[in-house]
Amino acid sequence: MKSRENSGNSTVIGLVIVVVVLLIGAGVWNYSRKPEVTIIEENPSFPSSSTTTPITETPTITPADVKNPPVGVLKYKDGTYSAVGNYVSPGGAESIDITLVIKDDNIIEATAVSKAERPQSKNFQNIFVKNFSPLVIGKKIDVVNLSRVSGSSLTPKGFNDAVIKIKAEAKA
Amino acid sequence: MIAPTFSFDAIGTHWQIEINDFLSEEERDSLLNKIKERIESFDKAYSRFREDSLVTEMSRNTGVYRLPVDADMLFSHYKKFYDVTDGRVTPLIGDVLSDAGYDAKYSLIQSKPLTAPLLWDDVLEYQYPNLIMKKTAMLDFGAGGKGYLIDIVASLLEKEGISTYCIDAGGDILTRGGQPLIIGLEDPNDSSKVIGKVALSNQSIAGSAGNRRVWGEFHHIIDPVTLQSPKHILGLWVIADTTILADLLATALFFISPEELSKQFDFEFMIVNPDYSVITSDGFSAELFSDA
Repeated sequence: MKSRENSGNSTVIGLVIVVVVLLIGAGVWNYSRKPEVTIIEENPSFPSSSTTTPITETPTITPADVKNPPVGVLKYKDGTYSAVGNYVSPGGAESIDITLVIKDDNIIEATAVSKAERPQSKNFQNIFVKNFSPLVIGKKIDVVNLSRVSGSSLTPKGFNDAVIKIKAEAKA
Repeated sequence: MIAPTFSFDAIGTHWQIEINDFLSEEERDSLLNKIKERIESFDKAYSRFREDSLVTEMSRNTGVYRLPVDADMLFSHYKKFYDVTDGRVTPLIGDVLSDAGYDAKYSLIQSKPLTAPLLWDDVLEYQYPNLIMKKTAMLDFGAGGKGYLIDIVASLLEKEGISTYCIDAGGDILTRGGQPLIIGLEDPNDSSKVIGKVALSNQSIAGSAGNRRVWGEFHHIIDPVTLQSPKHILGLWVIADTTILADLLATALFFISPEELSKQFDFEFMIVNPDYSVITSDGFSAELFSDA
């Protein structure tokens, strides 16, 4: 079994993602438009790492609530946001372009363009760019011909009952 | 004569067993009883959610315990994963999960500050068929128990002479014989959607997602080192020759890179990152749906 990328590089991709997250964390991004700098940091859809990004406690119980917050409480304005991520590689300063399209507080499209100058950095960034997109999307189950579905939706009954109870209490 | 489908709830999840061999009604009823009894005896040994289980007893009293015959496969797998993952896949996570709120009463309220789980060698001395509990601890087999139980039910079917069947326990699936099954890969954020499909033939698939069984800041996996639930992976699937292996790997991949794990185990995988980008192994022949 080997990774589909050429040379054992999901670790590298992971590293690059961590680097990008670090960059975001350090606030070294310059937005071409002007949302709050925290936009990506707080967005639940963006890759985060428990070691680099403080995880804000979410009282949210189901992901559906995250995806469809009530009207009027969207954290972010819909739109296209571009940013240049600058970082210092072992060989010197490098940068990468990231563009995000945000709708209803979700990142619906993300693209990365390598701006690396050194061969090593180019290599790393290309691996990142290649795997950054395309992003998979969900299709309604009933339009796809399937024998079975695998996921973790069927959770223990006791657990689900408890969640329902807690939600009810939270509303009371 | 019929080719039956069994559909029932057990160990807190929904089971669907499709059998393609023909059985008489009598054979069918007797088989279903045997399956349910087998699942019950497994649950009675290994469920930390039951007052009357062996593991609940172990959490209260130290001493020498005689293990059921099926324990060897379970313990040897857990020990190997414990060693390979440096203790991050561990049955000793039970007390951590319980303290975090995932307890026998499903309180879902953290009862005390979390502390790292005890070490295997400090608590367990495993010499099949005996297990010495040197200290009391709540063992949790959530990472591999269900997968193993699917394998056990499969071998029960084989023993009854059944050769073509599929067992689906809450989305962890084993299939033997017949045409390959087309398995939908559920969108981790929306159970009415799938993000792709993959063919499964004479193997098992297990999935894990960080946004099911969510409470407070936790989900069903807690990292023994950080004492937090990992959030760097949205969901993942593993295909392997046995369901216990697929199931345990589906937890281990939250802690250890696929490259490291592939040095020790044969498997194919697909990981969905929080931005819906994916990483798959070469042999994970999924058709994925994307905008591009």
